[in-house]
Amino acid sequence: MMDHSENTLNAAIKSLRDTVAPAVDRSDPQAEEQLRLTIDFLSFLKTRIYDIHARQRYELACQMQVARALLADAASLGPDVGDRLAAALSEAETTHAAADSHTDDLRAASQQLWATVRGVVRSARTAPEAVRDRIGERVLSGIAPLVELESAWYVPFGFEPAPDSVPHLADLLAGSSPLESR
Amino acid sequence: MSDYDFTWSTDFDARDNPSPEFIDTLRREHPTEREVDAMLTRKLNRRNSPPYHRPELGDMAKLLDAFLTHELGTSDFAVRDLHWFTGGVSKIQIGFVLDRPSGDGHTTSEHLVIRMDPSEGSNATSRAREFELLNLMRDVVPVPKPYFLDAEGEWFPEPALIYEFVDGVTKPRSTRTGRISGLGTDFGPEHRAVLAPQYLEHLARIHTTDVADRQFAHLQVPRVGTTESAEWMVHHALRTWEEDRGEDSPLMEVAANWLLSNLPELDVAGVVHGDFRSGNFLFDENTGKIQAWLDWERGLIGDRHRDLAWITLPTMGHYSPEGRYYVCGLIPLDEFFARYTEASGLEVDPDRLRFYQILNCFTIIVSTMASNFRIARLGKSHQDILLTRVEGLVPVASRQLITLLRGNNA
Repeated sequence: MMDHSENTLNAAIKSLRDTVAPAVDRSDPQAEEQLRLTIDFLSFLKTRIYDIHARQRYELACQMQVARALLADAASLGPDVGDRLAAALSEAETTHAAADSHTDDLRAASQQLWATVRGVVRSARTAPEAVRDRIGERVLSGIAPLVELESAWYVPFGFEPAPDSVPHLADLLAGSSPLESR
Repeated sequence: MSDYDFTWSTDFDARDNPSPEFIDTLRREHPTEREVDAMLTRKLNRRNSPPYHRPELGDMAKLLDAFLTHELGTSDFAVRDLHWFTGGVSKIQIGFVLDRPSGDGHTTSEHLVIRMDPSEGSNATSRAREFELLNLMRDVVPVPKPYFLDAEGEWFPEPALIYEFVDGVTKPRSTRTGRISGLGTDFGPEHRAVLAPQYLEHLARIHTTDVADRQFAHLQVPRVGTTESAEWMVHHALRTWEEDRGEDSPLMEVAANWLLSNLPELDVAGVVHGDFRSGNFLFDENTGKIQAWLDWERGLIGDRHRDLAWITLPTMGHYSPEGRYYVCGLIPLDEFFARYTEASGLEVDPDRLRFYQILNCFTIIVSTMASNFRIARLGKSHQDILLTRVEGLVPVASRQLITLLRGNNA
């Protein structure tokens, strides 16, 4: 049997909307609000559930680009700092290159790499201002595609001040890395 | 005790049940106001406690009865009509009526509100401090009259205050904007014309409240001519980020470095509301008169630029069809600062404003990406589903933060 998640989500939404909602106490506004938010989220999940793996791949690719841009400056902060970043990047590249990497593997590599980048940026607090500023600028430049993806992912939530200017999620995820998608 | 390694650690789950070493290291690395430190430490020490469970109104009535008997020194009163309020994102709010003899043979009926913490809220703030601020503001701007305080959660499941119920609306009944906590409410031209002057006047009065000769129990007055005010606020945000997050964000790390390197001095110590926006004031829809300013939980004494930067953030207002941005839906941004200075007599310093814009973006990401995640993960609040929804603000605030860090206007 093929995966029926989308079908089941539809059934859950219908159940909440048609059967549960009319039974909710009208004098309990919190219950009414939370039911509405729950239905909203299930509807949102229906549009995202089959893209979660692709999102994770996109994110890891983007994070690897940031890490590569920081390698030289990380090494200048101390051999230990540079070695940590190089090791985390190497592990991330191996995981990303393997076609059979599970979503959880990609997420774990992503967490490890981003944690190491955090260590690099924190280590730069005591570095010369020029090094600290360069690291800062490389992070800001490299992180922009990730923010773009998050905007596209969450645009149905309604917080974007100019939603029409947000790129389509499918277009972003069409390439396996941020560069390929441009 | 040795230090916890916050530079390289990857154990995010440690935050579900933080060790004494974890807590002590954070307290040392991020010095802040005494009351803020007490609230954050309390939060971490109680984090491993059970998830939030919504109490029955009948059970709350019994607790309320015992508390009021203690506070009033008599059992000659009655409590009735307990009902839930929606709208409180970080606090639980229950309305009720208190009947008690007035002394002339009659009975007075007072409509009151219990404002109580969940097991863990999106802001670990102090009800005692909010109570103190409400008393301080009573003769300054319209606020609900505070009645009773259970500062330590001795009577209720969590710390709570009780204040007057104020009638009014947070937005015109006809608008479909501002559905999430009143953010981005479009009041329309008629209400805007009446509300905007009051909004400015109230903000000016709050910021010019004299705090120099007053004694406070739960608020601290930072020293003018030093960076103390900014330091307290920055370390509050950095500490909360470290306490709650379930992932990393190099953007936040870069912003933290910038904030620590650019602390501004305080020029005037004034009262700061902390969330002075649409959704946090009640007005009479017929007359347009503002009836009360609510939600003082982020209030403090410090730099007015904290408020000015907060309320001019793009997420707090909306654009008109002609593309003009309205601060909190009320005042065009291109007029706002001049009108504020005219009303308050206080200058707006662009450098301080930028610093607090960056700090505020940082704080919004702390709440939405870190605190809301941790609370929902552990099931700690009455609004977990709403808190996860607000995570959608993260990319919006992140984009603003990148723009500001590059020296541009958000």
